[in-house]
Amino acid sequence: MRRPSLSGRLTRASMLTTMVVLLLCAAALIGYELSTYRRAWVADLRTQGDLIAHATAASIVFNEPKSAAENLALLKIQPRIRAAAVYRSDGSRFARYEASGAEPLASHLESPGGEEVQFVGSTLDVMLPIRHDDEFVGSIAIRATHDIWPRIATYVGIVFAVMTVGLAVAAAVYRKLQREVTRPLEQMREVAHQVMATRDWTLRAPPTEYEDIAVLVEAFNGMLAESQTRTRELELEMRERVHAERELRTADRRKDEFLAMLGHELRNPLAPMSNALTLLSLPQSSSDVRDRSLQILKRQQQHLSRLIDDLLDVSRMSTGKLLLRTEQLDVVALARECIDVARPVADAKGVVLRGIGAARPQWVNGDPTRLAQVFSNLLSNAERYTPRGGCIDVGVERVGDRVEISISDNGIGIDPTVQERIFDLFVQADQSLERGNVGLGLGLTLARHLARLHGGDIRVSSSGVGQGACFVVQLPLTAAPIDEYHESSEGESPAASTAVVGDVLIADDNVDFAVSLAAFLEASGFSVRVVHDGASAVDAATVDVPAVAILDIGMPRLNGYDVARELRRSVRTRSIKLIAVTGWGQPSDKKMATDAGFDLHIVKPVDPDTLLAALTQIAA
Amino acid sequence: MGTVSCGFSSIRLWAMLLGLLVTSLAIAQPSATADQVKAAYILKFGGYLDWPASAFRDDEAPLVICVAGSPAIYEELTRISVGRHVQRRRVEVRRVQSPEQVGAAHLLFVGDAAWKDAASWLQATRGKAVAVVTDASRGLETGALLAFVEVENRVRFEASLRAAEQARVQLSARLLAVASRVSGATP
Repeated sequence: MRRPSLSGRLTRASMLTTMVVLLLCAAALIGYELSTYRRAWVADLRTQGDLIAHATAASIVFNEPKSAAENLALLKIQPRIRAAAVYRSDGSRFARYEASGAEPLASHLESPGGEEVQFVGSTLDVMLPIRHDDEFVGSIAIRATHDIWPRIATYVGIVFAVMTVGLAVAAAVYRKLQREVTRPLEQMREVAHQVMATRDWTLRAPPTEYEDIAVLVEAFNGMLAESQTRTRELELEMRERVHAERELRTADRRKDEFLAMLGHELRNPLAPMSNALTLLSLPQSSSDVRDRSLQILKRQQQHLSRLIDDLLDVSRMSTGKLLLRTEQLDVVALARECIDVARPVADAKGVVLRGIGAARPQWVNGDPTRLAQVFSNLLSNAERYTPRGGCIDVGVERVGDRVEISISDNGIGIDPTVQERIFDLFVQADQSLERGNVGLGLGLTLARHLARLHGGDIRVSSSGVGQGACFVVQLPLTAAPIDEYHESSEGESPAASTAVVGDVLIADDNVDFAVSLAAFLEASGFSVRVVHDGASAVDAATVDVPAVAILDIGMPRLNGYDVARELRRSVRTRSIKLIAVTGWGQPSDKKMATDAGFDLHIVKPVDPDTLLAALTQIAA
Repeated sequence: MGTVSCGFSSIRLWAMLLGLLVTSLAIAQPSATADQVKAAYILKFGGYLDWPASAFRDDEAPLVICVAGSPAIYEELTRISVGRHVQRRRVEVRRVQSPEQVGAAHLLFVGDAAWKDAASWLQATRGKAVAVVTDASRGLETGALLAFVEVENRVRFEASLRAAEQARVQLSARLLAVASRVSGATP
């Protein structure tokens, strides 16, 4: 089942049209010719009849049938005339003539005197009156066979011959014309075939001079272009999607690894802690053993706190809730403090930590806690990956309107291929090397994020594995303050604060926490009272007004917020410094604490030294 | 075709029947007399003769036929010529007794009875365009232009070209074609 082609249809239509036109022309010609021929023939026969009538009038008048017959016999030179007869006026036959083999005409006329012309089949009968001086004397009848049919046959033959030639010529002309007209269509069809076969959307149909086909060609090319564009877009999108999917899979795998590692890292400190607890609970343990156990407990607890802090920070970071409390600060001084904090670890590991030499203060607008976190992370990172005997250098340099603090080591270094990726969440340079060290791979991510929150950045450079690494923290500078910088976070020794602060009220339903904190503060020189619910706290504070009240938030009978509001409402207790100590560390919690009237919000677990510093600061 | 041939045959049948009827009628009634035939011929001769224009006074002038020596033919002619025209002219038939009376005749019939005086009749017409007709025997030899003869019981006529030439009357070839004899013609 082949579908008909357009050119075939056109050829057939034009051939049909030509044929119909030729046939109509031929029919018209034949018709015209026929009638003309007939008329001419009748006229011819009538003339002959008239001649004979004239010649035979005398024969009838003088009753000479012989001479009439002689006259009629002259008709034999006309082979078409088959028979003729002369009749008297009364209708009786006077003379006759027949061609050989022809039938004679009737011997008597029924209605003489008429004049008629009659075609019957292939014969023509003509009857004419014979007059003598206006007197009707007789009639002459002539019968002839007409050769009109063979004539028509000849015409038809000629017409067919002409038509054959005409059709041939028309076919040739049409084919040539058609080839010109349908060529653009053919070309377009060819292109369409090719496009469908090869899916090559860059192919285009050639332009054409015919206006209507040009519209078609343009539309076709337009569609091809559209298809090309869309196909390209689709392919691009597909590539992006495949890439994104791969990324997602990688991230998912990393998350799984991280979770496994998190479990490991969280459980890790538990073993030494439970050992230390067992040692402490043994009655026969010497004081030396107890001291060491306490040291172990303290270290592991700090480690756990840091892990959880980091995790919380990462969580805030990923939800965009990490906020800065910026102030003007000297970043050099801040770095120095961080070095001091990190030094004990370096010393313990046998790594030389060289601090910043003499340097001018560099003022930046920043959150001191968060910047300290950045430096601490980078320093502990450097300590972790620098083997015993190595050294860590910290330097400060001002570059334009920025300050750069570099922390470089000669440790295990970083493979160039992963240098950028180490800032990604959960990424650690080498799992096998990492096994000997601790960490979750959160530190650098946090550090860079924090630096960027400050409008700065952290970059890393390392010549490769074993070549050491250099991290550079870059921060935008700000103008130096007019008044002299006061080191607010400068720690005071617990002994120094002993006499300064008087009464402290501790309210916490966690008896162990409350009692241990009380013991610590008393050891530090404070006078401490302890209660275990909110109502008691309000009573105690009202009876004997303390200088500072450390309140838990989640307490029975009256929660920490209500206690704070109660104390703030009373004139007597309004001036008490209120410190919230709670496990809830979200910014919203801090805000609620501030709204309730707290001066300070400290998240559990509480570092005693931090608490002491805070107490001292508040008292001041 | 069947009906056509049937029509033909029936026509033929009718024609035969009619022919029979006519024949029987002809047998039953006495056929036209020789004088009647001659009178009819005389009248019709006028259509085949050509007189010089001077023979007529004007276009309105009648064709004058004079009859001598045959009262029967005269009567018949008078009867049949009423209202007839020959060569678009009225026909006037006159009876003449003597050659002097011939006058302005165009056609003169002299019956057998009066033809014994043929020379005087011819004398009277000499120099004039008059066609002389007779039914006397040997009419042509005695000077007539047209002469009736009886052949096989049929009335026929003979023509003399010489007489026609003398009379300045032209004879139609068609008339000559039906004449039983034409004298003076170069064979």
